[in-house]
Parts: sequence; structure tokens; C-alpha cells
Amino acid sequence: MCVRYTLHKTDAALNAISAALGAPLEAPDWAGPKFNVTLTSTMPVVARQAGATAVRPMRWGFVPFGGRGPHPKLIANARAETVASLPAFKKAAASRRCLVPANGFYEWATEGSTKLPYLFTLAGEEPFALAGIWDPPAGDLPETYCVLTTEPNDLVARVHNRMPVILTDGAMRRWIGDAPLAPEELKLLTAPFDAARMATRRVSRYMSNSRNEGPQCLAPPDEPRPEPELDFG
Amino acid sequence: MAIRHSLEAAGYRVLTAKDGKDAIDAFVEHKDEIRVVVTDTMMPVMDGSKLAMAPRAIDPRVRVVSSSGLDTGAKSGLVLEFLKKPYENVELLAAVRRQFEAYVP
Repeated sequence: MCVRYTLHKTDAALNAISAALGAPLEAPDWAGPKFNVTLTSTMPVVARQAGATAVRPMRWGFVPFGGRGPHPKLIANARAETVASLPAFKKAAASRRCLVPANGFYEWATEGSTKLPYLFTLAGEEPFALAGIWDPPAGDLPETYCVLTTEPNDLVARVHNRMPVILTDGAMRRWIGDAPLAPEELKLLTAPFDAARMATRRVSRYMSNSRNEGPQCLAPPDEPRPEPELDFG
Repeated sequence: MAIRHSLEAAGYRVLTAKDGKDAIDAFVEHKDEIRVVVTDTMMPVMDGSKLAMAPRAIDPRVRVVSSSGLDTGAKSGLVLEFLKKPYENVELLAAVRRQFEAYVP
């Protein structure tokens, strides 16, 4: 699962996608830095439709056709292994694959009875895209997207049993599109990202609260308070 | 707190939250361990129907039990078991047990 990510350097992320696609993309005015992206956030997503590639506002929480109604069934993630075959995702996987600009994602490790958040980035904080699929608007629902997940690489496996599908450079160009991918190509593109090209560090539990936003989400964890020195003299 | 004590006495590990938003944050942190969410349709900050939506958006296997004193709450695609208030403790335990057993890992 991937349920929180950060897009705090929107321009850098979109520039990387723009360079990979060979298409001019600009950060829209409404897309300010977001350090704590949660389900139902409206985020910039790069999608291609009828040959035109554009940055579009989409809401995180894919609503498949059968999940619409007064209580829509949102879906945060789709498993890469089944995205092309499950009815909820099949059509989108074939014709609505998108790039979700990101600078990092968060995951929690269990230490004792505490959950400690970790930030995962690419080495050197290189921007990247999460592989996504999107659904068109329907009724009151805007365009929605979800993030694909895959088996974890060695780095992410230390804290969680899934990781998002990460795309850079040519893989971005191969992923985005509105025509079906060959099964082998799908498998190649959704393989776990090379752990040697990634980095991780613990961050403050500040980001665990979805109400919190801003650079403090990336701050190192608070150090435990030193034991008070008792003087019984 | 009474619900917590009842469930813990029945052997469940229980996490509580003061409102719907905090409940989702707790779910995100503990998403690999939670099997059943017990909620109320009338909750501060975020109502129970929205709270029911988020855990199943993150993990569709999770089971949701909801309760309300109003007739407007009911089973839906998200709420798999509904308890009309007032309900007996034994009814809550039976509902949680059914949903716990229905969870498919």
C-alpha cells in the first residue's frame, strides 16, 4: 500500500516528467507544495487523452464504474500484478495510465508498540512519478486516480510488504498512454524500483497526523528528552 | 470506552480515536494489523459514513461495523454490519466476531 506521499517540489517533478515526455508541462497555479498528500487530496497528475498530454487536477481515490453511487467506493491503490485483469481497473489500465508527480513517499515501521514514519526518496532527491491510473468524472465525482503498488525492494521491505511503482526517465514515457500495454511491458514497468537508487530516513511523527502540512513533515524525528539529572545531595 | 472494554475483555486488541480524522490516521499507521473498524454514523469532525469509506479505500479487505440511533444508517457497500442503538453488548460482540471471521487475509 502507498497512502501518503509528498510533492513539495512540484516544478522539479513536472520538469522531470516534461523532459522525459518531450512535452512542455508547467505547474499550474493551484498546485502549491504539498508535504503530506492524503487520500481525497486533489493533486496534479499528468495524463494523456486523445493525443494531448496535460497536467490535470485529479482527486486521489479512484472510483471504478461499479463503485459509484451515494457512497462511492474509493480505491487508493491497485496491485500491479492484477491491474490488467480485475474488472475495476482493467479498462483504466488499458487506456488511462497516468503519471503522479512525487518527491517521496511515507511508510511506517513498527518499533515496539510505536509506529515510526520513514520518508523514501530517490537518491539525491531526484524527482519521480508514481505509476497511476485514472477515471473520468461522473456526476459529482471529479477525475480520480490511484497509485499502483508492487513487491517491495530490499529497502522498503524493511518496513512494509508493498511499495508504489516508481517511474523515471524513459519508463515515464513508456507508461503514460491511452493504448494497451503488452503484458511483458506492463511487468517490466511495474517491477520494484532499484533499491540502490533510493534513500530513506526517519521523519517526525508530525506527518502522521493528516491535519499537518508543511516542511516540518520532512523534519527529523524529535529526539527523546534526556533523563532529568536528579540531585539528592 | 465501554466498547473498548467489552472488546478487550473478549480478547481483541483495540485502538481508539477521538474523532473520524484521528481514526483514519490511526488506520493508516496500523493498516497491516486492523481487521475490523467499529464506528458510529454521528462522529465529530468526520461522520461515520466517510470514516467507513477511508479504511476500505486503503485496504478493501477491512470489515466495517457501524451503529446509529437513527434509522438513516444502514448496511451499504462500505458498512458490512449495522447496529441500531440501543444495542446489547452481546450484539456488538457477535457483529464484530462475524466480521472478524469474514475477513479474508
